[in-house]
Amino acid sequence: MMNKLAQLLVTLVIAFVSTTAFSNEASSCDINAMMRTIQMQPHLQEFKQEKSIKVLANPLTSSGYLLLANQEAVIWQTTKPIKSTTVISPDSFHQYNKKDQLVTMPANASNQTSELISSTFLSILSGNIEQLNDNFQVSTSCSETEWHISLIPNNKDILRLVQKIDITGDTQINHLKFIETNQDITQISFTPTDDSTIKSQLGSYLAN
Amino acid sequence: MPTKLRAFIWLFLIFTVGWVFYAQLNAGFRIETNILKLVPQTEADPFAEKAFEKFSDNNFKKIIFALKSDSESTTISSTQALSHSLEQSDLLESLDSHISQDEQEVIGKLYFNHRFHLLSDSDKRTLQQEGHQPFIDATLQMVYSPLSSQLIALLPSDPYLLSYRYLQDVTSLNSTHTQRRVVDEITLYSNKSDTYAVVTATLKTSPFDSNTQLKLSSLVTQFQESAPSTQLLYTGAVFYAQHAAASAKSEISTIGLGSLIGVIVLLIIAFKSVSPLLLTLTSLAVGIFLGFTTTHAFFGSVHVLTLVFGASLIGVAVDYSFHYFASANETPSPLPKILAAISLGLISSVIGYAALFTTPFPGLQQMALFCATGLIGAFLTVTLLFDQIPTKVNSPNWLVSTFVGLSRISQKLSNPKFLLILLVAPISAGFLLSTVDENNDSIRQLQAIPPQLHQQEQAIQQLVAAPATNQFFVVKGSSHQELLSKLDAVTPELQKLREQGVIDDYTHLAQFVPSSQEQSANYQLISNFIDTDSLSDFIDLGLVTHEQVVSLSSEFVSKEEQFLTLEPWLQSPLGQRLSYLWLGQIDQQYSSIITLHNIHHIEPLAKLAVNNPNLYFINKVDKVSSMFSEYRELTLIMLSIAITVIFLLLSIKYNARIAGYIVLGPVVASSLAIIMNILINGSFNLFSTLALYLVFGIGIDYGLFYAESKDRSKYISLAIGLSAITTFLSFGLLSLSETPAIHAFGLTMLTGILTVFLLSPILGHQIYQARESAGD
Repeated sequence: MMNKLAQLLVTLVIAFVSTTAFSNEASSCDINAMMRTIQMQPHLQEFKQEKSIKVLANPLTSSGYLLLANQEAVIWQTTKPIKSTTVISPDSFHQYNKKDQLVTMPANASNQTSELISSTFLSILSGNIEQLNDNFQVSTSCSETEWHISLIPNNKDILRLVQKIDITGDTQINHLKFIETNQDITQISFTPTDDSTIKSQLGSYLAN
Repeated sequence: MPTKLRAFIWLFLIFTVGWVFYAQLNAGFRIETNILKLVPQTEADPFAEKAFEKFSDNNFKKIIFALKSDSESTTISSTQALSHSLEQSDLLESLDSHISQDEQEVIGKLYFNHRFHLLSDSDKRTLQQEGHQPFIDATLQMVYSPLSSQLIALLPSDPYLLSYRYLQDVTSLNSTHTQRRVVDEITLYSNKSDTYAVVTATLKTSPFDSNTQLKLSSLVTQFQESAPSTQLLYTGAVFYAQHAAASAKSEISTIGLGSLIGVIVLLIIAFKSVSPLLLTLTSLAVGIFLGFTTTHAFFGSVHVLTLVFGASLIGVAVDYSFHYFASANETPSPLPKILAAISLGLISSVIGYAALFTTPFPGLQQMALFCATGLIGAFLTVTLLFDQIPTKVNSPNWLVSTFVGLSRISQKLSNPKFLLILLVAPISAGFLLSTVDENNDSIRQLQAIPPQLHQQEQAIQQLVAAPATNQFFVVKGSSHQELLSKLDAVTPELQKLREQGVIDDYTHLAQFVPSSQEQSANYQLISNFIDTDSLSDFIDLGLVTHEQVVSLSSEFVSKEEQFLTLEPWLQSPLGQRLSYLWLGQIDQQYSSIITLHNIHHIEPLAKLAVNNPNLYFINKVDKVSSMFSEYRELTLIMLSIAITVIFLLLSIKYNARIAGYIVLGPVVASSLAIIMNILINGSFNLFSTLALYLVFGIGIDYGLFYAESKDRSKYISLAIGLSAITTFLSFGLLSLSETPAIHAFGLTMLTGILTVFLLSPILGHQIYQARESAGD
């Protein structure tokens, strides 16, 4: 157990998810069209997240809001069970605690964890896939009502942590599923919303 | 002494030296190229000196490569190819690559096992000031973030993720560089415009080992040929040493061969006979042979700069032969005629070198011993061997008349007014010396630094923000724990220096392995928060169970004494990467260094060491430079003393007036050399000062030849003229040296010898007059 834990601890220090990428693979449904759809999706989304962790008896559920600002930044705010806010932009990554104080986690050896999380998340949620490199093998499929993008890492560092990322959507991303190498699964579903109070509240983090 | 006996003594000498030389040859010659071996100890405390030596021995073995190509992927593949050929080369003790996944696991496990005793500074402050709540919040934030569920498995054994946080803190210490990342196990550094892959390695052998230099150099060349589109920068003592050794070798052959050819040509022109040529070459060979063997026997090695310097000995040692054969024009047995002059010449030179030898300066001692014994060897060959072979020489009249003509012209200047004017030189030189900039006395004068290597070093230094290698602190302790406690104790002071902008950062062992007192204090602090009450939030959310917390509490109690110690850390991959911080045992004391990054002000660092008995501040380059300044002053004083002693001895043998004329030549020549150096180079450093010893020795020789000749022989002018030409040649060639010190030396010699040569007939005329008026 100890060894296993130490290994886990270390794995996380090394890197989390490396820069994702999509190779443009010709398929029946056009990846570029999907990207354009993602880029057009409503900026404010409500999310529900469920994490199924192997070592825990019950899944961890949480919910909150996500604001996409001009395809350049993502404000991810968990409101339940504990408020916390993460602001991701191409060149910065900030986290605020329940009192909206900036949380300073110790810097990683090369800040890779935060950088990689940011770039992966930002790229998926903003549909900025062209900018990503070729760390994933991309496959797409479409039904009449939904499209589906599947990302399988081909970079061994990413593979240590993530086995697969599934993105499902129609006029926007509806569902994200991260299957981690240790079989923990995170599922996030999105619902568009237009609450101007929340929008301005989340937007205020950008002003900071 | 019968000639046979003298020949026997000479042969005995040759056999003795030959036997020692043979023994040395069997044991293997050691030619030193490390410039630090030339400079004196700078630390008052032998411990600090040994600590520096140990550190620099390790540091000298480091090599760093930085590679850049058109694309990042090419850079990475080129770097992998270079790393592979380095690994295959058998040159390396280790290739200090990025810490691999497996190695990270070893480090992670080590810190995880001691998680109840380790707290980063900021976590400790937070726990002390705000308690455990910020850690609970941070953990929850992580748990509910969209990614990274992996740390959740850690919560039962480390609910506040302290080991994760400590490990991150520690690994970030090892890489203060923000523009660093690792791709495919290759470390990439980015500056404003470029991205370089960096490979660091440690050599197995000394960088001064010529085989290592050769192999590494061919490996680099091969790599450059195989990857022409990749820009390769490299730095490390081995590259400087290789350049220094190569340039020294070429200088030794240029100076040695040049002087030798000059001597051979002059001998053929001046004496038109084979035996003077063979005998002179024999005397030179014996001189160099004796000089080398004695120096090697005495010091256990000969420094390559001693050989460069020693190569100019040819130009000086040949003088005895010139005097012998110039005199052979007049008499079939010239030895008795010149013996007194060349003996006094030898004694005066040896006095000069002996003064140099008394300085506690290994480089000067070697050069002094080499030259003194070399001259003795040449002298003994002239006096013991030369008259075994009767030689009839007949110097061409045109040559003799040329020198005599020169001598006549100069005699016209030999009047009291001119001699009084000459005295202006020493006064002006004394004044100019007082204005010399002390910055010229630098250890860098001893090494030819090719601009290309220097630029590469600077580029790499800027890229990787490496710690300073010439300035650092050393701390010692009688045990590991005492050492770590001392490091802990000095940390607040270092932090203060960082906040004041004196340094950008520092690194020491206690940042990775805190002292047991510190670990004990951490344990006590953490003990307040390992209970079910403190962790109730996690229990409520189902992240940990009540039983897990109870079990954690009992594990915590059982591990109270399980401190992280230095030995396992030093064995760990992180400890091995940072092994330069650890010096091991020196004089039964455990010692370690504190490296400093980007030093902005030196004084506060030196002051900190003065006020703190646990700290030694090592600042080798500056200390050597200031020591060179002191030695420059000391050697000038020693020279003045030597001049006075020689003047007194000559006054006893002749009289004060003659002694004064003999000494005046070299005094004026030295003064002019000082003036010229300061006017042309704007400096007069230690190495120019050393040249004055030779100027003085040779100048005295010229004076003595006039003083000792029974009549106004035209052959004195011939001997002095020939000797001056060979000396010009030797030192003219020396002044072409790439090494600043040798270059300065050669220039001083050129000016000095030219002056002595021009002055000697003028003063010689006065000497004759003085002798005539004394009724000699």
